[in-house]
Amino acid sequence: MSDEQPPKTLKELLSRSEPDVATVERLWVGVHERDGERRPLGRVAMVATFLGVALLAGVGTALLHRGGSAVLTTAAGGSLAQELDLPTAEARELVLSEGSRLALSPGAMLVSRENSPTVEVFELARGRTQFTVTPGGPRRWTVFARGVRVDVMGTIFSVELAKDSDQVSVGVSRGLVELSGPRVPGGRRQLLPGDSFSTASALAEGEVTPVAGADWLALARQGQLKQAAAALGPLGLARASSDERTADERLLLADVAAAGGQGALAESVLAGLVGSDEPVTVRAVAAFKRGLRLQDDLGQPARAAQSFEQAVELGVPASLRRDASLRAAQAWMQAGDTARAREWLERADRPGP
Amino acid sequence: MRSVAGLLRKPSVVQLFPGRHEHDGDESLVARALEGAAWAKAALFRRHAPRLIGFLTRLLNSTSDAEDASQDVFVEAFRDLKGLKDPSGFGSWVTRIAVHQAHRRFRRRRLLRALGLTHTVEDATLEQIADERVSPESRAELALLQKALDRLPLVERTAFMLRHIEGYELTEVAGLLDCSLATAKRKIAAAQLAMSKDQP
Repeated sequence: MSDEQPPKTLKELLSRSEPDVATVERLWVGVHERDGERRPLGRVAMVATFLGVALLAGVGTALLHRGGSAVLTTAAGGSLAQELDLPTAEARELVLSEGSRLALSPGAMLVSRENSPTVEVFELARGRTQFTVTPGGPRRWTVFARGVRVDVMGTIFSVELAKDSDQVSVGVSRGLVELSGPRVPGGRRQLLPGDSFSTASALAEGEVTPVAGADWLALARQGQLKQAAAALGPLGLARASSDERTADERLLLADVAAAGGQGALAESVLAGLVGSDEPVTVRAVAAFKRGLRLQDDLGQPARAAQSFEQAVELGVPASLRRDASLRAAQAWMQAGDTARAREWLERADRPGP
Repeated sequence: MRSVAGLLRKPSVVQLFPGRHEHDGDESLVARALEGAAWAKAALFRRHAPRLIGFLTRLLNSTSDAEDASQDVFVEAFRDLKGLKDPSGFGSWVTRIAVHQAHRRFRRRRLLRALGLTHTVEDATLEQIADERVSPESRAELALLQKALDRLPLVERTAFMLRHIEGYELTEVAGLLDCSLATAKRKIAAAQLAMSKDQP
């Protein structure tokens, strides 16, 4: 250990107590199963459960005859999560296996969080999506968007995230949705056809105090990323991202945006840098940081894994190489591709490039 | 490299819950978990479990016990999530639960040992989990430290480890042990006294 910093605490000497990614994932399965454990059933409850199961079996059979499946897929039978993971530079509409439709606006980012026979959960990370949910389906639909939860029965509604502020807007064309969450006044609200709702935006509340670019840069260079983000505000961040900047400033801006809770903006700044003519080492670092944003902020493990892979292929600095490989493995694990996760774990253990 | 004894004499100051300032999302993840979002629980687990598993391994000296305990910690945490008053403090809250879990397991283990029924494999003693590059001298010091720790009463052992191995501040040790600052200081001092008497 002579070539490294001396340890500051005893804990740092005990590095073999740290678990690997595979262990964490294995343990999560156990926690998840136990978290959903059911309490012992009484006799009446057992009879009711038996009748319920019989009824569900009948409904399930009927659904299968209608072409229903265990989880929701695209109409063509493709994976919903993978389809949504594709970049959406242009508007597009996804038709799902049960007939529901998702209309994504250009640049919209929608993440499938849960997909089961009874539950369908999405999170809108960027832009606008209109949901046309087929009534009477077996699944309970829920959409999360920046602190607003939208619970749905059969309906047509849209959810939109403002580009330059933290505002969330929900509009209903048909049916009924229920909103809840910390940003909904009173904690809960129902919307009927024709109703719309918008959270108070930071701009409307006068919380944004854009300052000259030099100020945020000075703060960011001192490592005060949150202060830099607060100084810029959401609008200032968006403006700063569209200005001409050096590679170093763009990397800093991405860090500031991430610290300010604008993971999607950070990701788009870094994506621009990865595809630029900057030196390959800069692009590699940008790819690594982009992977972090996709994995940690935007919940897109497959795209995150690809970004970490790109960082390694581009030649990320040696100090980041193992971390990038491990991150790729972790992201592939989260994306459900255990073969690739194993491959990248092995690469992480391999010395050299 | 500094000796183990040197590190013990001058414990460095580290933040109580590393990462708390870097991860602002706990509050919203807790809110979503309370709303029934399983993915939010998964995100909380993936964020905090690695640190807690390492922490429990050092505390319990057994990888299998630490893994079991970490699962119990999160099952308990998710079950009692509604009672969490400050969702942004999720990390410190689960650490406190982990300390309680470790105490529970230690008590049981010591009881089983007293009855001659113990089956716990201590495969993660301090010298066993030391970095591969640690010198033989330091490893020997860690083995002595482990023996001394094993002879301490439970709360004194934990107080000493939180302060001098994990690097927590005194106020943080008190918070994790659910006791006053004065009590935490007393427990650590008692542990140090007992260990100094142990030295040849």
